[in-house]
Amino acid sequence: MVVKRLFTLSGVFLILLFALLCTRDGNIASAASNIYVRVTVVPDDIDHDGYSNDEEIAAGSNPADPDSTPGITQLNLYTGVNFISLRADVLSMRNAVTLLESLGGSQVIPRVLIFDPGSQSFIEAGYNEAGEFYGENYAFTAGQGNLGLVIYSKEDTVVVFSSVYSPAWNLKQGINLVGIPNTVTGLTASNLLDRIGGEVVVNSMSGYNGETGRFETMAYYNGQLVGVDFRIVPGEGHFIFMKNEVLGFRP
Amino acid sequence: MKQLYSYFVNAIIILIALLCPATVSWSAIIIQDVTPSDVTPSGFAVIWQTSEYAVPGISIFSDPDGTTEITNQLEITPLPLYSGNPGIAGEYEQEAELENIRLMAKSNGLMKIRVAGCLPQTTYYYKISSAGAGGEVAVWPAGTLTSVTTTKENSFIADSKQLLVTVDDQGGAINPAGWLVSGAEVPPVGGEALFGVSSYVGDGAAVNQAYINLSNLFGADGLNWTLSGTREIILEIRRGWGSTTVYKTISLDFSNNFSVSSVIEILTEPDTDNDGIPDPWEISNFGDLTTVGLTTDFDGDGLLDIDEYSNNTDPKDSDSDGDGMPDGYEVANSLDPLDDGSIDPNNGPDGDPDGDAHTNIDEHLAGSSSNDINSRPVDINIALHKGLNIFGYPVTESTGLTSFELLTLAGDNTEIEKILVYDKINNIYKEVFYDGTGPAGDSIAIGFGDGIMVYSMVDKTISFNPVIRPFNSYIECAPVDLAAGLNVTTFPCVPSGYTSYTLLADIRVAGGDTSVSSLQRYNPGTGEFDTAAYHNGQLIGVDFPIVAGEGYFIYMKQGLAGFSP
Repeated sequence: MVVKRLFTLSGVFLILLFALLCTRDGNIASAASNIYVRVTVVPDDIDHDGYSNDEEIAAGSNPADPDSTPGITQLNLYTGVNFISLRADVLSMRNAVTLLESLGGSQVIPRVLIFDPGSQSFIEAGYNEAGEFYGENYAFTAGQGNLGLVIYSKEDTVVVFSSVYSPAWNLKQGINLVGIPNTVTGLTASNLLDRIGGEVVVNSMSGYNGETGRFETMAYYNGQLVGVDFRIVPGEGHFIFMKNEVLGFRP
Repeated sequence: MKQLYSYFVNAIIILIALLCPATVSWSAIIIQDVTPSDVTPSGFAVIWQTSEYAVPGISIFSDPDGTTEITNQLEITPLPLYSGNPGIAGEYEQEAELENIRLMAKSNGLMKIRVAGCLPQTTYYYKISSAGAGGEVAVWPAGTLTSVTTTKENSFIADSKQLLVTVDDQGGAINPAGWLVSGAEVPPVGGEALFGVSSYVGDGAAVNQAYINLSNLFGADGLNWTLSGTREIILEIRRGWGSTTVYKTISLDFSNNFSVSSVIEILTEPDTDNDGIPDPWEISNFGDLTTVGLTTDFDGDGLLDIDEYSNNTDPKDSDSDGDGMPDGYEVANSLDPLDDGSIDPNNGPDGDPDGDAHTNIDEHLAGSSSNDINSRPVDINIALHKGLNIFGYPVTESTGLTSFELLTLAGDNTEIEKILVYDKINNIYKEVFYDGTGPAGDSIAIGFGDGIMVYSMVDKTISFNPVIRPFNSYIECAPVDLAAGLNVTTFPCVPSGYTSYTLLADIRVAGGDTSVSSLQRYNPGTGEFDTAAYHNGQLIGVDFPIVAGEGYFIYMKQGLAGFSP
């Protein structure tokens, strides 16, 4: 690492020297010219998450976001509908088309609904019967974490990503489709609702149980928790209905 | 501690119930009310009732003949529960609560078994079983396997509603744990009933509550139910063998899209005498649980007490809204028994919701329906001439009328010589008359439209109106069925200016060019029969007027059902 950094600094020094000696037209400047150049040395790990920028770029994670790191993320899709929260960074996918391709393309994924909490609605994209893309090629932005997706799969499949994204939750008033990136021991709907802030800020939480094909819901009703106290599993998408906005919540 | 004591007491009661029959004899377990429930793309459940304590079982086959059993390939969960009472802290206590619910369900004979690991849109054939405490096993069905088809690969819900069904346990006097509650859409008329979703009381909520997630309803197309507008949901609350199942229909507004937070509480009340009427209502109105029951009508208004309860009317007041129409009449005719017209004029005495130009109160007094334009008060006067008279019986009698009764109604032995009523079954006229002691002869039941011959000794008028026959003595403009051959019939409602020619022409329009041959009436004025007929496609004969209530002979070449002039 030290040798690599010395090599980088020496390279910067040579470039500076060359810039000092050259004019705009490429001729060697006289020693009397005064040219000032600001030099910024880029840190090798700008987000200080323990992974070098090169490693992050290679893995598809965001080198400027400590919540986005290289790592193996496995997405299990079952035949039929899947409610998920994408645990990988969407930075390398850019938009809905590349997302669909990364999930297997038209042979595997006929349709994806991307939840937009801002508009409280789903944006649909997919492939028609001719295998052509249809819908909105929704563009992802850096820092867009906890991408809530409803994915229709033609077959049971496993998709592996090389990044892990575990940001804080910014829960907006209304519906949020979110999930946890990593296992939290003993985390269930009831204690997650409690940790978010209880009945004052949150109303209910629903999840789809792919094994039973049923929706399960935990809700507050007159101060009482009712419903199914389902486990919160990494990667599964859960609907959280917020009465009030809660920003920066970490499950 | 109180909870543990409750479990202990329940366990003792069930133990006694299990041991006592063992010392006498074993009775065969009865299985009934088998219903599929909670059908999803990946599984289904079956719920049923047994006559005694039992443990549920199921065998699954891939073929209708039951030759290939696949039970072992699937995940079977008897008495499936979600999470018990979320208010109970502690894993041990929670598990004890779940076991208590299962124990009570088995004791009540309220069986449910869950099958998971299925494929979407796949038919599974099954038979269920109930194993009693002594090892005896009942199996259903006895013959051909029944089946259920899993739903499609799931669509996405647009809305969600959860029902919280709260049982009034009278402060703990009643233990509803283990009762089985199911919810489903009220099937539309002629539509397909959907698979319901079910839950045990005590699971997913407090000990006296059941939690129903309507997001798990699937439509007839196999996709998640499309929720929109106001829909009616029927709740079925099974309480165990020998206890009346409670039904409650509720209207829910699903118009708010994408809400996963709508918990709606439905209250149910205890019914210790199992008459379908909740105890608090009986106590409040009568002070006891014995005065009224399933078939009583305390105030005699034509509305059973159980229906007084469901309609929220006063069981001790025959006219709860005081608008002159009894509660029974109002409910039967879709009028609000609690609105005298001040809220909606159509519910009041001067309203006319069926638009037949007769007010509700007039229709009530006449016995006609205020909710059917074809049912309206009409005074029918049949003019009898001295000699032979022929007419069709114009009155719909729900209680039936015999020719003896008609003879008495038409006149005494100084006025009426005899009456012949056409027996449509045997195609003969049956005769009644007065002998020295009263009506005699071959009396038969008279129905609407039956042909009647009256030999009168005087000119007189007989009236079929509410004064003479106050019960249901109205005219229904009901269609007439004309059989091939001779028909002696009448038409209760006839357009103005209608004649024999227009009647024959209308029959041909309705039944075809070769449907009718001729039409005759007896003309008491001339003592002759007038005839109108088709001959080579031309109408010939007497174009006599057609009068409501008069009897006519119609010769049909082929039958014509449901004809109205």
